[in-house]
Amino acid sequence: MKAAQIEDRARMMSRLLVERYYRELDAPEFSDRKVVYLFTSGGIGEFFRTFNFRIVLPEINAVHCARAKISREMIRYGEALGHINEMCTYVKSDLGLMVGPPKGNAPFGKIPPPDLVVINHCGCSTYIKWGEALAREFNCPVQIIDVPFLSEDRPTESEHKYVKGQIEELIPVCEEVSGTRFDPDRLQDVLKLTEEAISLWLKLLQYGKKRPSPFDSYFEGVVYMAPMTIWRGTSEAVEYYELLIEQMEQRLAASYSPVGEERFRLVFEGSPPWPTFTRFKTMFERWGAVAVASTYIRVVCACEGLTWGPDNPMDYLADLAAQSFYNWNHLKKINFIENLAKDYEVDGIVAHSVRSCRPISIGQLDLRKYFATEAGIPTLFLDSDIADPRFFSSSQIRKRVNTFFEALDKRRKRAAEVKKA
Amino acid sequence: MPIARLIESIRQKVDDPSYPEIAEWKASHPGGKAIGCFPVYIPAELIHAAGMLPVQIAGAMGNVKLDEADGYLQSSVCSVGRSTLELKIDGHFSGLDGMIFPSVCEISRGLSGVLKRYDPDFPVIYIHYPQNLKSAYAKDYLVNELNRLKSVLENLSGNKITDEALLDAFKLYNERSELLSELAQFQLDHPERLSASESYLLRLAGVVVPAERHNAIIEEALKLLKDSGDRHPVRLRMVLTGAFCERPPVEMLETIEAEGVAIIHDDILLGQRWWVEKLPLEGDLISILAENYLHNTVINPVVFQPESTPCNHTLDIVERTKADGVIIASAKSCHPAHHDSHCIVRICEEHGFPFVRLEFEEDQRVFESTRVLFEALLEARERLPIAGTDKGNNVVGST
Repeated sequence: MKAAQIEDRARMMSRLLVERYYRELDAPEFSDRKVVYLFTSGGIGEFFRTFNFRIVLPEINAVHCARAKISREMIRYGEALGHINEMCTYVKSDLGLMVGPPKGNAPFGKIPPPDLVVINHCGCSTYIKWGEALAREFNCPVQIIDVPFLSEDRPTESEHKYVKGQIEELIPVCEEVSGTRFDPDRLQDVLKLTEEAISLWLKLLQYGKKRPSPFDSYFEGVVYMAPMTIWRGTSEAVEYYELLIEQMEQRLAASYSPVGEERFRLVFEGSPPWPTFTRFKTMFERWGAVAVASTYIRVVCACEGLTWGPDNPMDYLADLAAQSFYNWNHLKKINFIENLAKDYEVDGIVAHSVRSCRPISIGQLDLRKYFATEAGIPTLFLDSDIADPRFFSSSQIRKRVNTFFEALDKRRKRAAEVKKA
Repeated sequence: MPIARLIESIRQKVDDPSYPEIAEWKASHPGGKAIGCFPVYIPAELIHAAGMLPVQIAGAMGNVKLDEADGYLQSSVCSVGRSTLELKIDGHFSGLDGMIFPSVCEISRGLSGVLKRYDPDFPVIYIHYPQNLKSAYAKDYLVNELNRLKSVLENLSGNKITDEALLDAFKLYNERSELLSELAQFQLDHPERLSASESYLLRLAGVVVPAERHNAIIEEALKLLKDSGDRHPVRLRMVLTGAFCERPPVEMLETIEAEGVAIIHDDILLGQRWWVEKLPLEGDLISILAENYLHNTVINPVVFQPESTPCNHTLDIVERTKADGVIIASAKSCHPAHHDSHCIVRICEEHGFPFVRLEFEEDQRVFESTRVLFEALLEARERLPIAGTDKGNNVVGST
């Protein structure tokens, strides 16, 4: 099988799952199911799935607005509602779509209004204001799962108990809104599927260690993470990752690299600039650069080292809810990236800072300082936005990317000369 | 001493970014330690009970040049975050023996991490306050957090926090709450005798000095105010909201006041007035602190209170104080404030309250556009009736 065909299958399947997700949100056969809005970082969709909720993820709406090239328009609608310039562009885009003139009608699907908003406060305080705004606009109840920021490496016993308790407290609320009784056996079944998908997902991430890496953990990883985000706790997710692993094996056997010839191995930190994703991707591709590891794809599941499993469903959910890369403290993040750099044998690190997103951008300049000056790992710092194309300066970013790779090239040549000498 | 002279003496001290009062306090308390507290709220009672000096850090009030800090934090980060780091880099925190950061936003959280890396020997403590105030599990969680903080403070100070010392601290800070409420009431009732900028300076006096001394200053000020005459023209009475964290320049308030606009209520230095009611003095004191955080906290933008949001709270205040309008003053890049400002604008529009939307930075020095905005508001007021539901009377602007 040709490498191109392998790539197409994974990409196509992910796209089909996204299309099906949006279709089912508005499908007449599911119209009797209530709608819950959740956020992605630490979002435990599987819990709500057991109440037959249709799950809407506002950030995913914002991503798809950007990919559909309508985010600028949606942001303008959001700003017209009074959400001023420097606020999170995901919020402005989503509120523009849902409350502005489109009223939830997007090119990728019709988004139903919420019956319940659950703010899974995990690493992003804007979620609170965003959830409040949605609940206010649609006059529906709003609940919170407050997940303490991980001050240590793992959630402490006290943090775990607090999060688990809050999830348990949501059971009667979900029963009342959804009209579905809580079924612990069903939850356990769903979580077994989550565990299975996670184990495949973690296996996938390991492929980046191969030379050449058969996949790009950033530019392809963000496509591959979609089922983990929107199809959590389903057999669809498990099947998807089984297929993906199979394809990775095929790519490996064919010594396939997503950039043709792998020249530079990188770790990527930060979310992609969605409206200019392809343009951004090309800037790295042309240098033969592959993100063999990335942090952003760990926003939905930084699943290494979970303590609990589906046999203890509430503990497992609490553990999953706290496990998002953006809920980690600064030092834990730096250590993790440094380990990635060593384990995946990279040539450099790229940090993409998001102007309107504090959880992603705070600490990134310090991170660059540390890696570039103390750890001796070449680090490129770029700055644009997740949803607002106005913040993406193509020429400036291209220039910095090219300079970075030219420097890496020289460094490599110098090292070869020294070795030879 | 007349009130004006007292206030002027405070102004000169707050402009010094090196916190000279810390050295003064340490000289009179040999072996004493000082702890920096990032806004909005830190339980100063615990710090005081450990025999330490709580110092409310909130940037540099524009008194340091942001230079080195920009190498660590992006320019899209609020001024208070960047200038707090700059103060540390420039050596202005040499008097501090540690710093506490609360879970108010990503900047506080991220800055705590950056500081830990910048100076691993400088104790940095991060505390997460529950956002789910209604959860039955929140109290136990917070008791645990407060006990963790207590133990860190005991280690840093070398002093055991006894129940007796903590009870004394409760009484002291209760007294401060009472005095500051009295000051706020005076500002509301007599804006022609106490302006918001003066009230702000009197509160600023307490960011470094021990609570005992701050209480004495406020007590003296209240006495002087009772005997003072009218000193400020009042053409309009407005409520200011949104400046609960980064401190607005005093000159910004003075510019507004110079136009005859009295700010009769504000949320500046909100952490000093965190409790709605005084803390009870009987029972397990750590549990009391936790319980009060959950049920006795002033409505503010950094705690999730869906039934009483800052937007509804603003409406209540305007109605209760019979104010003529609202000044929505948010620090640049302060996401919690900006998010709330959107719904406060909407509430003002729905109720026909005149409002002005401002954006400020702590190092701002030019306020011409602020002056023009308030001139326009006053002109509009002369043309149109101010109260009721006249929506044509709103003035929206930004500086």
